Amino acid sequence: MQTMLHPRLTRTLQPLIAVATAVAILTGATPARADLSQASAASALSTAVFSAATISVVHTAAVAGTDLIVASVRPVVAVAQPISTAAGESVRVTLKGLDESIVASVDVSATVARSAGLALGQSVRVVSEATGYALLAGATLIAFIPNAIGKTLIRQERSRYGSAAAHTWGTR
Amino acid sequence: MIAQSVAPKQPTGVMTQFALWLACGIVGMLLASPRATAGQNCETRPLQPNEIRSALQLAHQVAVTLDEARVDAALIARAGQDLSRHGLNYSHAGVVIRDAQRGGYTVVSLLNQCGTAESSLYDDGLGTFFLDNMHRYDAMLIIPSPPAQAKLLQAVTRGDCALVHTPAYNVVAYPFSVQYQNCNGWLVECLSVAEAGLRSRDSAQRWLRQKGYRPTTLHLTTLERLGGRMTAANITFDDHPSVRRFAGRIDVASTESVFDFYLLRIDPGARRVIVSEREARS
Repeated sequence: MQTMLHPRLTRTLQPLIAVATAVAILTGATPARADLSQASAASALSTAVFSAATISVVHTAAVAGTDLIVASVRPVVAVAQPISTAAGESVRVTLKGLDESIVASVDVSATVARSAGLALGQSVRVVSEATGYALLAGATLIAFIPNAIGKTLIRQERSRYGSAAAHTWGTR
Repeated sequence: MIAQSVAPKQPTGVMTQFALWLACGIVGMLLASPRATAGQNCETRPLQPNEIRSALQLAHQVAVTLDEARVDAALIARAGQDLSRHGLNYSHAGVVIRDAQRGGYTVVSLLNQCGTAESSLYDDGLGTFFLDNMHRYDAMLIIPSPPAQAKLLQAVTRGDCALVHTPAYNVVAYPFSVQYQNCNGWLVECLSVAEAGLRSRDSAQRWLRQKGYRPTTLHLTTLERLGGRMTAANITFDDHPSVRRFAGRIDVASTESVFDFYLLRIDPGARRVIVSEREARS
């Protein structure tokens, strides 16, 4: 996921900017899709979860409770979809603070964007919640970014507590 | 962590998808899932932000509930499918344990691998547990008495419960046969392991019979049975007793049957708690 940040803001905002939790999860999640059709897809079950919106970069804590403005909405050209072509279209929404001190980009489901009526100049509110940050365009949730608490709730692995590999109770 | 369990790659598309793993809906695609299609036991689609938000909020509420009760091990269920037709509210269950190694809580449960008749045991974070296209965002917990929690925790973490797992998955597995298993079938056998120290499926099932475990009986027509068998890799009825099978009575391990059994026969001191996104109530 690319970082989209206004160049002149990079230095001043660097301490405030963190690649959102969702990015790490998404990055990790993507291979799971490739594993999905494989019986041994250890991490496929729900690793591929963060989807409908992905944040490139935004220090959500710094902007929580504030309004951002939609600066651009552009279609995203999706590359290969290894599992399904039914993933749906998406748009990349660039958001700016009122004083342009914050710039972030969010990939949002085209369906969600349509239902929210996303358009240039529209206000998007960042709301801090217990497990993450909700980006609301009007009443429509266009993205949800897990915070540190939310991140700790998301993980999956083959169970560490033993394996039934040696047990074959029946075949089909 | 998920992000650590797989090698990071560049995103291959903006819209990450997820699979609707028919983790253990007892009648999953057979009766409850209108999305099911022939030969396809799962579906991929983008997860919507409101689903992520609700799943994490519910997971957080569950964690708070467990923390406040100082729980080390409990039973947890989710409502992944609408099973109200059968008088059931929850479709999948596992054991939730305090996880010193990973931090927070971990759900250990049996999951069916998409589109196959195979299962494995997985360790999920609480958020992941609910990130599977829930029918309803609430959870049912059974919080055992402290001695029972200790036994359950030990049975899971020592690997004893893995001894009664079989990878041969069947959504409608007969709970008194060792041929197949569904998630709730594994769970109830795990509970017998914890309680009675058993180490095989045969002995676990004998113990369950002796203790009076009663599975849920589904009433399925011939057409439904045939349809399920022909269209899904993970539905079969050949492990069921012929008499009941041909009468359309299919006995399965449901979440409710397992939880009720635990409360009535194993640990009457346990308590049931329903957790929603906003609150927990006993």
